[in-house]
Amino acid sequence: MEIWPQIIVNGLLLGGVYALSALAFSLEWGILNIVNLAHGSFIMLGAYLTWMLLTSPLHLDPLLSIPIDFAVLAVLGFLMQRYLLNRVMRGQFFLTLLLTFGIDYVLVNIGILLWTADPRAVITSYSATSLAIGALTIPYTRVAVLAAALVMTVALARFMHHTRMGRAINATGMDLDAASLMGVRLPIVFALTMGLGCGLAGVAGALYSVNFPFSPQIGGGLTLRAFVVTCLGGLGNVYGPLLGGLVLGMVESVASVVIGSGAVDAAAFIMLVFILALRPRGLGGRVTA
Amino acid sequence: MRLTLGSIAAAVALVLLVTIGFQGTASPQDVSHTIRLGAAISNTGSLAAAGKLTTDGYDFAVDWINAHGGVKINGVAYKLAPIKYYDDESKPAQSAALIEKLVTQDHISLILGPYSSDNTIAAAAISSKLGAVMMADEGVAKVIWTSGNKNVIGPIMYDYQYMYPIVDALLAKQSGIKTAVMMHADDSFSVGVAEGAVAYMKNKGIRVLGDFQYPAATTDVSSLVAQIKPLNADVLMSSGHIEDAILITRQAKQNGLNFKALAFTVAPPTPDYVKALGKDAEYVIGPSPWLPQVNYTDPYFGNTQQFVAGFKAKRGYIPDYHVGDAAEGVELLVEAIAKSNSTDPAKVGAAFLNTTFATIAGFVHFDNNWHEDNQLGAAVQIQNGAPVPIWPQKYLANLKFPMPSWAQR
Amino acid sequence: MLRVALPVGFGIAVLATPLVASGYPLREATTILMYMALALSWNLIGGLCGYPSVGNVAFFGIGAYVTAALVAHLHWTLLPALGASALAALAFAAVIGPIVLRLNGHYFAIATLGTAQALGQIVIMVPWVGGPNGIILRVPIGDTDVYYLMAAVLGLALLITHVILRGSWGYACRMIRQDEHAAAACGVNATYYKTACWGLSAIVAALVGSVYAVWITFVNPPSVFDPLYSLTMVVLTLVGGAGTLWGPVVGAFLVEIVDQYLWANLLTAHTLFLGVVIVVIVLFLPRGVWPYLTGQQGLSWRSLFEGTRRLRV
Repeated sequence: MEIWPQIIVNGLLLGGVYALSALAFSLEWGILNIVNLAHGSFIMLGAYLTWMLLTSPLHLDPLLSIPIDFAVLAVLGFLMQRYLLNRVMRGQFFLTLLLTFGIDYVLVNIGILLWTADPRAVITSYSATSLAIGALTIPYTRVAVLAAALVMTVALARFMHHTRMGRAINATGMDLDAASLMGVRLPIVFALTMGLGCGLAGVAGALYSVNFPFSPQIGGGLTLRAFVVTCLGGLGNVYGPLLGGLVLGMVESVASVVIGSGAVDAAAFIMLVFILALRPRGLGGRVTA
Repeated sequence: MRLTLGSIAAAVALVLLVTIGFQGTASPQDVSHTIRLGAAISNTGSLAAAGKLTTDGYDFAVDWINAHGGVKINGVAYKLAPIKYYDDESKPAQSAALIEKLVTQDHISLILGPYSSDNTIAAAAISSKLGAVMMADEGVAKVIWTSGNKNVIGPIMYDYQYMYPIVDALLAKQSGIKTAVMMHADDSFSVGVAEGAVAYMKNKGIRVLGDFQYPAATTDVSSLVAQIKPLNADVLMSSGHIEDAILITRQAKQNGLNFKALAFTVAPPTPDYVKALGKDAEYVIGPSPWLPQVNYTDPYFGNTQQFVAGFKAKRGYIPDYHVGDAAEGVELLVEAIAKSNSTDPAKVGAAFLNTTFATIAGFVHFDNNWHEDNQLGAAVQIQNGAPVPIWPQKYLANLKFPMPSWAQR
Repeated sequence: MLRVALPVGFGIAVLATPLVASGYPLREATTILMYMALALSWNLIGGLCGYPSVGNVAFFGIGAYVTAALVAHLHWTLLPALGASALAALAFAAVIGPIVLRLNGHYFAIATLGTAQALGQIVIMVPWVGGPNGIILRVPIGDTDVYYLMAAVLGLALLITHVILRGSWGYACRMIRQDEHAAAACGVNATYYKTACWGLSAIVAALVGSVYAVWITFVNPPSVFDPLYSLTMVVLTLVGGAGTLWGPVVGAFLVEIVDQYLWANLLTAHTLFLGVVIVVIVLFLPRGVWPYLTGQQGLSWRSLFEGTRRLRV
C-alpha cells in the first residue's frame, strides 16, 4: 500500500518525541537510581512556561524559549534534589519513588490552580506546516523534535564522557562511595544531575507544546511512556532512550495499521514484556547489579 | 514489637481526627427557606475542562434565580443555597461515594449529575437506591435509563443521537455527500455516539468507508491520519473530547488531510477549542444540544437571550451548550419543586413524569421514565472564531460548504 | 500480650463499625478496608519479597470483571462468582508469573505495569464483557453485607500474611528480598517462594476487585484497570511499613483518612495537600509509620528529624 512510506516516517518522528521525553528520565534513573514519577509534570511545566512566554507581551517564539525553559526547570530540579531527594538517597529505592509521587501530585494540582484544566496549544506561524514530498508529508515541528532528540543525546554523551563534571556524574552512578572518595562532592553533583535532567525535561516540554495540546494532567502519560522507552532501550546507556524511543515509535506506527489503533497501546506493552523476558536488560542496557 | 507512648498518642490523635473530621453538615432541608442542591463536578481528571463549563452554568443559574425572586413553594419565596460540590475525580467509585455523602450526611437529595456517562451510571444507581433526585444533564448513555433507576432525570438527547443534526444538515444542504469516515475514542460516550452516527449515515445512504477507534488518552493520531487520507472521504466525523479534537485538527492540517466537512463532538462549541486552534478551527462543525442563539420564554430567565446576555456579562464569554444544559438542569429542578410545592425528592421526581416544562432550551417533554422525548439537537459551525448555528433547518443558510482545503486558507 | 491484644482489638473495631456507622461513613469505612486489603496484597509480593509490582491492578480488574460477567450475564450467585474470580486471577498470575518473575527490580516493575495496561486495553475490545461500556450488575445485597464481605477479604489477607511471616516462608522471602542470589546459594528455592507469594497476591487483589464490583455495581475498563490503584497500593504500603503485617493496614488507614478528609473539605487543592503529606511522611518516617509506632525507629521527636540522617547524601 502506498501509505507505508508515511507510516515509516511517522514512526521515526514519533520515536523522536518519545526519545526526547525519555532522555531526562533515563538519566535520572541510570545515574541517580531515581524513578522520577514527577518527570512528566516537569515536561508539562516546560510546556506551560513556553506558552506563558508566548502569550505574554514578549511574544517569545517557542524555539527561543528553550534556553529559558532549560534554565528555570534546571533550577527547580536542583532545588528539589538538594533539599528533598538528597535526604533519602541512601535509603531504599522506594523512598525516592514515593517522594517523587508526592511531588507529582503537588505539581499537577498547582498546575490546575494556576492554569485551569483547559487544554492549551501553542500556535505559531509554522506550527502546522510540513514538507511535502509527493504523497509524503513531513511536519517541520516534528522534525525539530527528532533533531532535538538526536542533538541532545549526542551532546549529553559528549558531556558525560568528555567533561570533568560529566565524568563525575557518571562516577556517582557507578559507585557512590568510590566517587566520594575520589573527591566528588555528592550532594552537589546529585543536585546538578537532577537539575540537568529537569532542564532537559523543560526543553522537551517546549518542543512538546508546539506539537501537541497540553493540560496540567499530561504528566502521567508522559512518565509512563518514558518508563517504557527507558526499559526498552536499557539503562546505563546514553543512547538507550533514543534506541528505545525509535523502536517504540516505529512499532506503534506500524501496529496502528496492522492491528488497528485501538490495540496499539496493548501491543506496545506486550512487546515490551516479551523483550524484557528475552533480554532482561533492555535492548541496549549494560549489565548492572 | 512494643506499643510505645508515641503510638498511643498517635492513635488518640487519629480517633479525634476521624470523629471531628467527619462531621457532615447535618442540617436538614428547608431551614430558613433555603433549598439545598448538591452537585458532582470533575475538578481533576480528564474531563475537568468541560466540567468547569458545567459548574459555571450551575452557579450562574443559582445566583440569577435568587436575584429574581427565588423559588415559590406554597406561595413562599425560597432561595437556593450555594451548591454543595464534590469532586468525582472522573472516577465512578468516587461519584457513587459523593452521592451517598450528599444524601446521607449532608441531607441533600436534589442533585445535579456528574459530567460523563460512566460517572453517571454509577451515581445514578446509588441515587436511585437512596431515593434522591438526580438531574443527569451531562450524562447521556441510554443504559442509565434502562437499568431500573428511578428519579434520574434526562433532559438531553441520548448519546447515539448526538451526530444526527450534523448528518441532517449536510444532507439538507444538498451537498452531494456520498462517503464518510468515522473515528472515535474508546470511552463509552464516544463509542455510543459513533455507533449511532454510523448507523444513521448508512440509513441515509452515505457510505461509511471506515470506523477507527483510538485510545482515549492518545497523544498521536498521525498513523490514523495516514490511513484515512487515501480513502478520500467527503466527510470526517470524529467523536471524542476536547483534547482529541484539538489534536486531530492539528494533525489533519499538518498532514494535509482535507475534507468537505469536518465534525467533532463536544469541542467545537467550547471556547477552548477555538482558543487553542485559532484560524485552524474555521469551518469545523459540531453538534450542540443547546444553542445560545435560540430564544424561548421560560419562567425563570424570562427568555433565552436574557440568560445569554446575563451570563456573558457576568462570566465574560458566550455560554456554550455545556453551560446552557447545566443552567437548564437547575431550572428544571426548580420548576419541578415549584410544581410539586415540595422539596421531597419523591414528589419532585414524580413532577417530571409525562410533563412538559418551558426552559431556555424550549419545551422539554419527559416520558414516563424521566427522559426527554422531544429534543432534536442542533449543530454549529465555527465561523470567524465563533460557533454559528447551522441546524435546525432555519439556520441552514449559514452553513458554509464545502470547507476550503488547508492550503487554500 | 500485645501480640494478641492488637489483632483482637482491631477485629472488634472492624466488626463493630456497622453498628455505629451507616450511609456515608460506612461507605468510607468500606473504602478503607478495601485499601487495606489491596495494600496487603501488594505487600505479599512487593513488601515481603521485594519485587515491586506496579501492575497489581490487573488482578483487581480481573476479579471485578469475572464477577461482574458471571453475575450479570450468566446469573451466578455471589460466592461462587468470588471463587471463580480468585481462580481466574490465579490462572493469569500463573501465566504471567514465569515471564515477569525472572526480571529484577526496575524491569519487573515496568513489566507488571505493562501487563496491567495491556490487559486494560484488551478488555476494551472484548464485546462480550461490554467493551468500553463495561458491565452493570445488581446483586441483592445491602451496604452492611458489602462491608462485612470486604472485612472478610481483609481478614483473609491478614491471615495469609501472618502465616507467611511467622514461619520459614517468611524467612525465605526476607532472604529473597535482601539478596536473591545469596538466598539461592543458601539453598532457598527462590522461584517457589516468590511464585507462591505472587499467586497469593493475585488472589487477594482479585477478591477485593470482586467485592468492589458488587458494591459499585458498575465496572468498566478505565475504572477497574486504573494504574493509579497499582501505585496507590505501593504508596500505602510504603507509608505504613513494607514487609510487616500491620504496616500496610496502618498506612492505608492513615492515608485514606487524610485523603477523605481533604477531599471532603478542599474542593480544588486536595491532591496538593495529599502530596505534601506524602512528602512529609517520607522525609520524617522513611521506614514507614508502623516501625515508628513500634519503636524501631526510636520514639521521640528527635528521631523524627534523625530518621533520614543516615540516608542522607
